[in-house]
Parts: sequence; C-alpha cells; structure tokens
Amino acid sequence: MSEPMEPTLVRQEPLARQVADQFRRNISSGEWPVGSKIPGENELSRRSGVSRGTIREALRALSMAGLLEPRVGDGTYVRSRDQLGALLSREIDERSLRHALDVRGILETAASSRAAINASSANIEELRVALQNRNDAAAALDVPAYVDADANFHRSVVKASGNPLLLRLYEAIGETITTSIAQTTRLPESDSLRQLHIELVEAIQTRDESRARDLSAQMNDAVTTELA
Amino acid sequence: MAQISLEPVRRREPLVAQVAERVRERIATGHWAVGHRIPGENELAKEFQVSRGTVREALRALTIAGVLDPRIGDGTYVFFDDELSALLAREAENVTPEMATDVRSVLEAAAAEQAAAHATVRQIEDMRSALVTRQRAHDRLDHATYKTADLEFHRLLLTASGNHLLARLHRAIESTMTRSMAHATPLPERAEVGQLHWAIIDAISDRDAATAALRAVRLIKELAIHSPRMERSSE
Repeated sequence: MSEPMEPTLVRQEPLARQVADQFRRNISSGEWPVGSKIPGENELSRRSGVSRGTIREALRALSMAGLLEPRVGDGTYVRSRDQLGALLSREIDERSLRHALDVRGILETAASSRAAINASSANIEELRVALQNRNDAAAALDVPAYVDADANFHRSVVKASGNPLLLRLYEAIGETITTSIAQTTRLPESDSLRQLHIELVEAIQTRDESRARDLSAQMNDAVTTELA
Repeated sequence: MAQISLEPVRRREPLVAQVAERVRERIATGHWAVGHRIPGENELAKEFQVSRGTVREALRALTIAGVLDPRIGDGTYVFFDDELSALLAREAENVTPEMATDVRSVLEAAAAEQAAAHATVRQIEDMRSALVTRQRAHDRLDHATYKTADLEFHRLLLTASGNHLLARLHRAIESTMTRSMAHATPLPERAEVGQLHWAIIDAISDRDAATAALRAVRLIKELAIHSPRMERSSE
C-alpha cells in the first residue's frame, strides 16, 4: 500500500490548507458576506502569491464543506457563514425540521437552567436589553425586527449558560431553521408568549433553576406547536 | 478488507465530490477506522475508475476538512470519523472537558427521554443484549470488548431516540471531546455505573420518560466524577 509520494504533493498539502483557512476567516469575519461573489481564481492567486491550482483546491474544499457555491459560467458565491451550520444543514431536510426544532429546544431548555446558575451580571443586563428590544419590535408590529430581536434574546439566554459548546451547537442549528421560523412569524404575539419571555428573565435573575427550565420548555412547546 | 461499492462513480456531480463522498462513507461506516491508513492514490483511482489527480484532489479536500491526515513518506491516515467531529475539535479551544460532558449529558438525557416514547421492542432488545455483552466483558476484565459494547449501547440509545440529529451531535462530541474520558474507566467499574445502565433500559421499557432522563444524567455525572481527568478540575 505504501507508494512513493510526489514531492509536490508534500509541499502543497499545508499550503492549500492555509489558503482554505484564510478564506474561511474571510467568510466568518464577514469580509466575504453570505450571498456575495468572491474574487476569481486569478485575482486570488495574484493577491496571495499562491498558484492558481492551490487556490482552486482550497475553493473546492470549501465548496464541499458547504461554505462556498460555485456557479457554472458565473463565479463562486458565499453560501454559508457558519461551517458547522452548513454541515448540519446537510442533515436537515423538511422531514427532519421537527428533529432540528426538538434539538434546539433541548439545548435551550438545558441552557436556561444553567443560566439561572451561572449568569453573570453582564449576562443579565444583556438579557434585559434583548427583552426590551424584542418587546419594542413586537409593539411596533415590525416583523423583521421582531424576528431578529427574538433570535437575539434566545441567543443571549443560551450564552448566559456559560457553556460555549452549548452556544455553538445552538447557533449552528439555529442557522438551519431560522428561515422557517421567519416564515411563520405573525404579530401581534400572544400575551402568554410575551409573558413567558419576561418571566424567564426573572427566573434567571432570581436564580430559580427549575422555573427557568419549565418556562423555557413551555416556550419551545409553543413554537413547536405553531410550526407543526 | 471487504469490498464495498465497487461500481465506478458516475459523472453527474463533480467527480471530485463523488470520490470524496465515497471516502467519507467508508470512514463513517467504520470500514476505514480512525487511526488507519487508507489505500494509496493509485489503488483508489483503479477502484473508483477515475484519474489519480481526481483521487488526490478528493483526499486533499478531506484533509482540509480535517478528516484525513497525510503523513510525509508514509501515507494518508483517518484522523476523524467525520467532518463534524473534525470541526468541533478544531473549535473546541475554550471548551473544557466539564463543558463537553455537560452537553453530552444533555443530549443523552434527551435521547433516553425520547427513547422511552419511541424505542421499538427490537431496539430495547438490542440495547439489553449490548448490556449483557458489556457486563460479561466487564466481569472477565476484557477491556476491549467492554469498551465496544459500552459504545454500542450508547449509540443504540441515541438511535432509539428517533432523532437523527441528536445522535449525530452526540457522536461528534463523544468522538472529539469526551472519548478519552469515557474510555479511561478502569475495570472493575463502580457498581453504580453498571446498575444505572440497566436502570435506564428498565425505565425505557416501562415507557417512563422522566425516570429514563434522570437516570441518564446521573450516569454521566457518575462517570464524570470518577474520571481521573475530571477530578483535578471539578470542585
């Protein structure tokens, strides 16, 4: 099975990876925004001083990872900013959207109880601001602003858990399902849903772990029923 | 080595992507396990009936994704069982083993809860028989068989949840962050650990979701508390 390795292969291996890492950073920093067309191979090669072949390889790897999307006769576009989200979205289709919602609910409920234990005063301040923005957008009947503010609120809850892995998985799954959430959002929201959000912040602030968990579970049930 | 999917790749999507998918499949199914050296470019080119350049590019894409590890003058080794695991490992810088264990227990408790509702009779039987194997291997201090049966039990549990995504995330976390810990269990294990495994499956066959979830959390805590790596940093 052992065969002689070509010297070029050995030399180019880390280079394509370095280039791919750089492109990955360009995407995650927003320098190459989602939906935009990135510069062509020639230009990238000129800018970086790396051969076109190496550039092409890096681009191909990122396309396979779901971050970029080559369009024949046009160019290469940024498809997703979050590689983990891109990988997970491969596994989620319409039939399994319910599974994704369930997993997101599981993560958020666990995060809510942990937030009641771990939230710093900065976390709680962030939650209060997020809640206010959410309520303002709801009062203004501004659906896009409300969808954003709501997502931001829930993200703040998960962040307050103090577990970055929980947050990472939550965000990645979130990316795959926000579109379906946005499509089903209607305003005004119900009083009970509004109240649940207010009470969750209270429960986290008063360190009431089991109440925080219950409220989060109730919210997720409400969302799942809505989308079912 | 058993031969699978011998038919040549077809020319629908880019060849490189198809070849990468084949390789990915073999790794995911364990045909090429983590730590193993995969066949050389020539051999793969012959088998897939594509050019050597196509194979090389597919392997490099998987290398960039962190799944494969080419070693100069040696060959290409399997580094992670999939891209998700590789990615989590790369991003795990500020994640402590405690945090990873915590997330794992969240996923496992949720799986136990859902399994109580969804597991088929067959799945419950399979979990029981994995536990029997696990127990017997444990009693004769057969580490290798014990480990395999233990992993098998937990995978079956996650599958029985009926939520594919839950199982995927659990596996990725297990293979990147908590693997060394879970496998560090010295034999004989503490009696509580063995008992909790049986207690989980009992709760599932009683269709008692809440109890199944509680026991799954207790099991992970039990394992974490007694893992050498956790003792140092937990309070």
